[in-house]
Amino acid sequence: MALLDIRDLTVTRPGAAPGAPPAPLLDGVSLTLDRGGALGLVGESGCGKSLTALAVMALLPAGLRAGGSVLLDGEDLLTASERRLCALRGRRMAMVFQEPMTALNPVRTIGDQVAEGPRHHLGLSRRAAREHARAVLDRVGLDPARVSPDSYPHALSGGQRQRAVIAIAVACGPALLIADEPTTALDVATQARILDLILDLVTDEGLALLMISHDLGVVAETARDMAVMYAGRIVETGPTARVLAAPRHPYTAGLMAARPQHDRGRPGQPLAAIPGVVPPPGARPPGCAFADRCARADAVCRTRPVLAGEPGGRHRAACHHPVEPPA
Amino acid sequence: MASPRRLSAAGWIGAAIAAVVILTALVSLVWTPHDPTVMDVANKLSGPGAAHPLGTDHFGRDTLSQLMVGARVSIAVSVVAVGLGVGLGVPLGLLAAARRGWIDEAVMRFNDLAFAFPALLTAVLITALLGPGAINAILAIGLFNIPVFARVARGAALPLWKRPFIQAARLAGRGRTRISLDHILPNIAGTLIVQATIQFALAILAEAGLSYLGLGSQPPEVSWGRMLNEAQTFLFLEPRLAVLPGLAIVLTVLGLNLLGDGLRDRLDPRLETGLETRREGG
Amino acid sequence: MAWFLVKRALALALTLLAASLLVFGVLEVLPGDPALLILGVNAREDTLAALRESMGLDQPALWRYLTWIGDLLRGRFADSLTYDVPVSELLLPRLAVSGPLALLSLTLAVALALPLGVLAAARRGRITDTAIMGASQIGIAVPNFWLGILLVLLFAVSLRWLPAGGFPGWDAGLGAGLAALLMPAVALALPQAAILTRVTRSAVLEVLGEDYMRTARAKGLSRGEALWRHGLRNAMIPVVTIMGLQFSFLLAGTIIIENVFNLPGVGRLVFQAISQRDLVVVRDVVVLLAATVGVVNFLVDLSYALLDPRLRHGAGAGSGRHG
Ligand SMILES: Nc1ncnc2c1ncn2[C@@H]1O[C@H](COP(=O)(O)OP(=O)(O)O)[C@@H](O)[C@H]1O
Ligand code: SF4
Ligand SMILES: [Mg+2]
Repeated sequence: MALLDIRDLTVTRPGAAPGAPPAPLLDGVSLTLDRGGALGLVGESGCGKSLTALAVMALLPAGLRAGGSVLLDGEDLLTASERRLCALRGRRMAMVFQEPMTALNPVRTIGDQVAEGPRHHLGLSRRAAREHARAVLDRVGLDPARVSPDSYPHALSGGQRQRAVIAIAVACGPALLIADEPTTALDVATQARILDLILDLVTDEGLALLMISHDLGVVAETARDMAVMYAGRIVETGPTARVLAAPRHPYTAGLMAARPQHDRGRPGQPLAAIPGVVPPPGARPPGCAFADRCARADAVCRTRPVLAGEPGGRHRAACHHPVEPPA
Repeated sequence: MASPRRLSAAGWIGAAIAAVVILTALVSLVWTPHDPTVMDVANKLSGPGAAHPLGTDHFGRDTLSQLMVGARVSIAVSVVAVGLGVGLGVPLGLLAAARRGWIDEAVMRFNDLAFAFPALLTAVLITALLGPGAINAILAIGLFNIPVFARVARGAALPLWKRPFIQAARLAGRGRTRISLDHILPNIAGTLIVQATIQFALAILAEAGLSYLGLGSQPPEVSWGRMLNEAQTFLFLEPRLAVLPGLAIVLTVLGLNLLGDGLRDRLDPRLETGLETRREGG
Repeated sequence: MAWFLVKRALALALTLLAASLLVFGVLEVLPGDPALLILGVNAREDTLAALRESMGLDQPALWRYLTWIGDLLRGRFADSLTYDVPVSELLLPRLAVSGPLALLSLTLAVALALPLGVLAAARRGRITDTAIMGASQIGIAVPNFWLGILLVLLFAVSLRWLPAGGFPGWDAGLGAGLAALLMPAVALALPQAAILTRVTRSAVLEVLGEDYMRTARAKGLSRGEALWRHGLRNAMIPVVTIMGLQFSFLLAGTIIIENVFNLPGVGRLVFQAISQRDLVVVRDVVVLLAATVGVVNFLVDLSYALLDPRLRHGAGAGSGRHG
């Protein structure tokens, strides 16, 4: 059984006007992630990557409704009680956020913020939790001798803050770590070091990693499997090496072509633009959502919905006219 | 989502209350059940009845008529006082936003100073020293509306100056004053109207307070605050005389606040709180 | 931190300087001759001149201003025009009434507003929220002096639980003193509590949308735990600002409320002094009140530093370095 099994996840927001149909933000997202595995999720901004992550954490913004199922160890998180979810969050599944500047509470010390989870989940005493927090901070590269656990977030650099956020996430030894664009807000040199840290932790602790990025390079470096998301749907999945070697969905191919060639494998460059923009939720065309931006689009693409590929190890693309692999 | 939002139910209730009060004030110009200043000692302190629907006071004056005329006084004083604040404060705020630099600094320091004094205390000071009366009450209340509107106008205008259409007007060689009047003012009008509604409610409270202290409108003029002042002597005999004018004040202020909140929600749903002088506005 | 305090203290001193100049200037240009006031309109011109000289009124305005401020700073108060005793002697016993009254009402307002505001935010959009917001909307519309009258009608006239007004003095015992201050304090407090409730609610709602609240939830904290441990302290910053502002409203409110309840406090003193044109009392008391407001705002700034470590350590709020 997979550690994380997302099946046909939909997230809708209530219609703008009373009586208007609810707009789907996520539409039939299916993903699986094995224990100790690493899955990358890529797509342009606004495609629904963060919502997918928040749905797994059962922390969707107020007003959004989730359908389908999200199974963690076979247990459906979408129907679990709030009590049960509080026991799982931070203990079995944890999340690192994009913005280290705002993800930490400015008026509490980082040691305090890291110690909170262990006190809550592991029943540690105040002192024991403090010690535990020091060890975790040391583990993520915040040596207590150099960066005091009694520091407040504002005294830390962006990279140090992101390390503190990671410390909070891994403090109770979760089985699943979701990293939502953990390096996007950082400068290039720091990005590489934070990615290395995450990879170290994943290998050492045997975490399963869901790495979210709009940067193919980051996914190439961290994830064995990958999924490409477009306008709230998964459009291509497969082993990272195969997808990147021979993308089959025109969107993925577009993302690859838009990458600057000189820094292959190095993270940091945002995707250069594919012409056009992601259609906003509620304004998605009936057929393939990518049709307006796709060179291969024809009448069929515009009218007939494309079937989502089954999740799993095999390389699949949701496209009427997939790119042929080079002979 | 960007379509203009409708006024909320509470906003409509507020608008209705405000309309009723204004209508009452207008009607009182041409008709009241009795002359509110005519004394009828034979009928003094009589309870509600056919001749006097809300009873009479210690001089036998008709309470309903007094309440109606009181609405007129409250509204007149508040309108002029808020008008004074708008008339002087908004140009100051626009000027500060348009010029920045030392003018801006001076306007803002003046504002800080005004906020350092408890408003009511200064109003008491002014009316007492200039002599009690409706005109001086207007001056005292109006004075405190100037910094409020200066702050709000400046705060709303500042971000506009960075907007492309203003920049374009500047590049086209139009003067700052013209731009302030032609482009900035229409764009901040909504915010100013909302603030004016709230200040209007506060002015009614302030006028009532001053008149209650005997510093506002003077006899034989009638106002809600004066009625409360006079009622206090007969509190034990006739509580009705103290309760009714207070209810009129509460209802009016409540209506204006509801209307103000409703308008603000419509204008910008992100703003909430029913705060009077938003100190951090600038 | 030290620098922050020095800057704040300087600002306070400047405000007080400006305030004293303003008060002095206003009283200077306004009509009203103190000598005439003391001796009456029928006084002879030479008697008037003699009195003016003995009061220093023939000195230049700047000199009189400096003398006044210099004396005040050394704790020396001039004699009241109407009572013939130094203003300090009038002031002290009245401060013993107004001070406790203002503190009591601020305490009541905070004790009421904070829990209600947090509750309303936590139950946003539900019936509890609507009820609390509705009540606060009414509370804001109620003039405090009318509320005072209603309280007298209910608790003094109908129920006879509390005295209708007056102050027995602290000599009569703490209980009797507090009983006399209770209704005035409630009358002052409720409208302020209504405002503070709304401020608290929106501050908490704001904080609920912060990223660090999501981080706290992602750790496994429940909604309530996250709010209690991570939200409240951050939400307190705007609330404390408003509390500081409200203190000056409360001070001003005492002028009216002390009249409603016939309390011998500072508000009543200043009101009487104004009516009697006792300009010596007026200017001293007004400057004292402005100083109190200034000091309270200084304390508010201090409490920011306690609430927010970014200020304590001298970094600008929200600043951050990359790398
Ligand atoms: N709270 C919300 N309410 C309504 N729409 C939302 C909300 N959060 C996100 N969305 C919409 O959902 C879509 C996906 O957002 P998100 O998951 O943040 O994208 P990504 O992380 O891929 O950049 C976007 O179109 C966004 O506008
Ligand atoms: S389905 Fe058609 S429009 Fe969509 S990606 Fe494939 S080829 Fe392009
Ligand atoms: Mg995102």
